[in-house]
Amino acid sequence: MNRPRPLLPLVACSAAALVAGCRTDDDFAPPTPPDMSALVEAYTRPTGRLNPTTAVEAAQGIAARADDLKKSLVLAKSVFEAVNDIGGTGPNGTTTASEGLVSSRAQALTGSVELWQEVRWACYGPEGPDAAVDPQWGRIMLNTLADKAGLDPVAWGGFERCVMPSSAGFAQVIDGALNVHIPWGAATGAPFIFDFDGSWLDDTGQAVEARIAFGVLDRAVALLQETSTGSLRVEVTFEAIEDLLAGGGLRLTDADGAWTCSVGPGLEGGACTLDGRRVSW
Amino acid sequence: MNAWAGALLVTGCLLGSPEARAGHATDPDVDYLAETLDQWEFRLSPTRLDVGVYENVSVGSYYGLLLLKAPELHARWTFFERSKWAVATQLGYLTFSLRDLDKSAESDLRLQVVPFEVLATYTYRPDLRFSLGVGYTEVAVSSGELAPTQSGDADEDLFESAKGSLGVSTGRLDLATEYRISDLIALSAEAQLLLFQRGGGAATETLQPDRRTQIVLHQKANADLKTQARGNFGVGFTWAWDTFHLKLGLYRGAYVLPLVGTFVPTQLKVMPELDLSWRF
Repeated sequence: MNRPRPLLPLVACSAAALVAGCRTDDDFAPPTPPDMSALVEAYTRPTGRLNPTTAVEAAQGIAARADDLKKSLVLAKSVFEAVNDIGGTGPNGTTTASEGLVSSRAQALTGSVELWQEVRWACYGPEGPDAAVDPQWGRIMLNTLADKAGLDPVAWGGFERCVMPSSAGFAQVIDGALNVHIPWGAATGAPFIFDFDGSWLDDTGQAVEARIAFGVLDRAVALLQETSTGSLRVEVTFEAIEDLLAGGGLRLTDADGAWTCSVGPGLEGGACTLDGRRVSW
Repeated sequence: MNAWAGALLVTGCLLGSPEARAGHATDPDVDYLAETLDQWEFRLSPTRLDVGVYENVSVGSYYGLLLLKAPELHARWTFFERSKWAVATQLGYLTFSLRDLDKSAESDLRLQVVPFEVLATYTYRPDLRFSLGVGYTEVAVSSGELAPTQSGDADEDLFESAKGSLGVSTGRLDLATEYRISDLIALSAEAQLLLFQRGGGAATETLQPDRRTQIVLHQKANADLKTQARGNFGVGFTWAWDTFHLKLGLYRGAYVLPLVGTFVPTQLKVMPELDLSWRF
């Protein structure tokens, strides 16, 4: 019989590929993390130079952003609760209780390994951390990738109608996307970088659109402040944020490094020193 | 050969009619040749039933697996026959679910196997034939959600659960030579060589380390399982009466899981092969 029929082999191959494709690999396709490299570079290496002129620009600029500082502090404290359970080596070299989870899984697997995790953290609600877990108070979702080398520094996700108490005693509802760059295993001084884009519902019932990028290190919130010479990283300690104009609790980092500062009431006068150099305003 | 195989052999000989046993098949149906059964011709063995359903197309099943509620189907088509050449393709499908077998099983473990092969046979002389085949088998195993394990205080509702899947892809080369010693008896030599074998797995664990935190951990790994050359080689004799066919052989080398087609690291010094069937 001389009747070559090429159709059936094609059908057979297609059927084999179809069934083989029923494996669940596609269900496990790892998501792609956002690119935070530009933001990390900006916060890690400020471009400006501190001098009497830029010091005044930075002080005045940061005084006008007191609301951003307060929001940043709430975001950071909320996220730190969730980040604590992601697992990994923290910015000061310490490890969290669940650090071993991802690394042990990665080491146990052979060949090429991909891991990623979703952390779902139930928000406190208006009553604070001791209240019972209740889905109505929303949650924070964070994703991270990992391989045999450890966790990827970028965690991304967001607040899903997350209700948190404020220091003023009222509830605030946070909703929006969040990217966090976590300096796993880095030496002290490497900041966590946050990029939040969402809305904020405060005690007045008004939803306020908020887009905030900030850093956190050594119990201080860092904001980038543009000046006439470039950007300066202005760090305000957690304690100083509630009463910014009282002075104190301010640090500045420029292209040359971290300055030690002493700032007076209202941020209207102060002095910073670095390697024997002194800038006052 | 064990007593069970011996009993089957005797039974087979007894069931074949004297007339049938006196004759011989001019075209014995064996797996290593690109041949199929004639239309509405049946081949029955203790584990398998095949039937020619169309010109050069046969379908079959390892019906014994139905005892495990694991249906298997395969089909072969000799789609090219010209001069001394014949080319066939075979596709199969096997599925098994632990829950189908045992409703009370904790996990719904599922197995799917898809073997696929293309086989070419060259007839050098009527009594001497050579075959070359390329086989590919895909095995997929998946588990449903495992029952969560509780830990910690009851009011904290801490738990862990997991589900996952595993796949193995195997490619192999099949070589065979058949020499008809007589009209009744054929001597065959066969070899299987592992071309590649890759494994991949994925699993999802759900953990709740404290009452506010839930972690869903996805894990995925792929590995080349062909760490060294593997293969096997065997020789066998086939007696092809008109109705009853008997093949006896000995193999040496890497063991290949039947139906699943996966090469396992175990090297066997010698493994016997027994295949008996009736064609009608």
